[in-house]
Amino acid sequence: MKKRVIFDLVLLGAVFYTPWWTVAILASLGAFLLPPYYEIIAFGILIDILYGARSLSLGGMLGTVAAFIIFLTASYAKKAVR
Amino acid sequence: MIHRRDNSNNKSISGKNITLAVLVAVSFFILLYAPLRNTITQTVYVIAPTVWGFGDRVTDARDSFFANFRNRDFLVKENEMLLIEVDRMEAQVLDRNLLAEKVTKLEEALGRVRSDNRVVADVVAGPGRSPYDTLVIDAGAEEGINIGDVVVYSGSSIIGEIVETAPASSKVKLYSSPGEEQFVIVGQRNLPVVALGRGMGNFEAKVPQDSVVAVGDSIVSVKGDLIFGTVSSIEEKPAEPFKRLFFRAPFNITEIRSVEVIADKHF
Repeated sequence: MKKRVIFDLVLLGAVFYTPWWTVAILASLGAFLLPPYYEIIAFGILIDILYGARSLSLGGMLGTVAAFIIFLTASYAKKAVR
Repeated sequence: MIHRRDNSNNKSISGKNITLAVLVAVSFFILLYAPLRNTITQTVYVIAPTVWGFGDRVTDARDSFFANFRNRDFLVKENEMLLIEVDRMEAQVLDRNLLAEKVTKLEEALGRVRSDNRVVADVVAGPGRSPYDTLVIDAGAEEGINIGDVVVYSGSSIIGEIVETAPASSKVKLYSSPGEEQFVIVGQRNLPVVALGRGMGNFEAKVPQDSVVAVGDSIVSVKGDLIFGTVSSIEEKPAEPFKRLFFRAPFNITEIRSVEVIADKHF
């Protein structure tokens, strides 16, 4: 639980201070290593709220859609390797 | 025994699926229902500029700390180079001021005086951080900025337009965002083309094969008073009816620290 909270804080900092691809790599790691990493969806929404707008690509939902894709891909990958 | 384990697995999977379905519904409702999205955006933007400001202060402190350890000779050389550069730029500014004065006089003579209402804003989050190729600036509705206002850098380089405003901040969509299309004028022969954004200040355009365009030609806005960039390369194949122009903004878009918003000017 403690590790999870620390990872969430690191990812939160990454959303504000690092390029989007760093966030994507960290989020993928979290989705793969932590048990159902639902927080990834909240981070996707945060990215869309911080940087997106409704008039932008995918209606400003790029972060959330990417978060769902990472979440689902990681779930299948976890099943495949276990 | 095995049967029971399967049942618990199935229950767990269906529980996860339900949770995921609820999350999908809630997420899309938040993002698609405009009043809710706007409320959350306004709330987040009460805190976000402070968080970004804190990060900038930490970066500045780190840079000044490490600057103490830099080689003295290197600093002296760097200082000399910077002084030369400052001299060169001062001369350019002088030249530019004279030109601006001439343009103003001509406009006055023609009765076409421009009266831009410009708001200077600092960039709090650049396109490197954003997956959308957007900038976040620290001026918003309180400064009279509206959606659609044109954003320029360094006085005359057009970079994008406002797509969302909060009381004290705004989001700028860069014209170089992938897939964005803009009408522009190329070169001295005023060739009208559609510029397609390629991200991070890069554009691409197609012109007929026999068009007279050269590397270094300026790309300006349709009204002709704002610069998009200069042609950096041309790709032509004799078999194709078009040649492809690649051009970019005359500065590194990730290094922009402040911009000007031309209030009530729409492109």
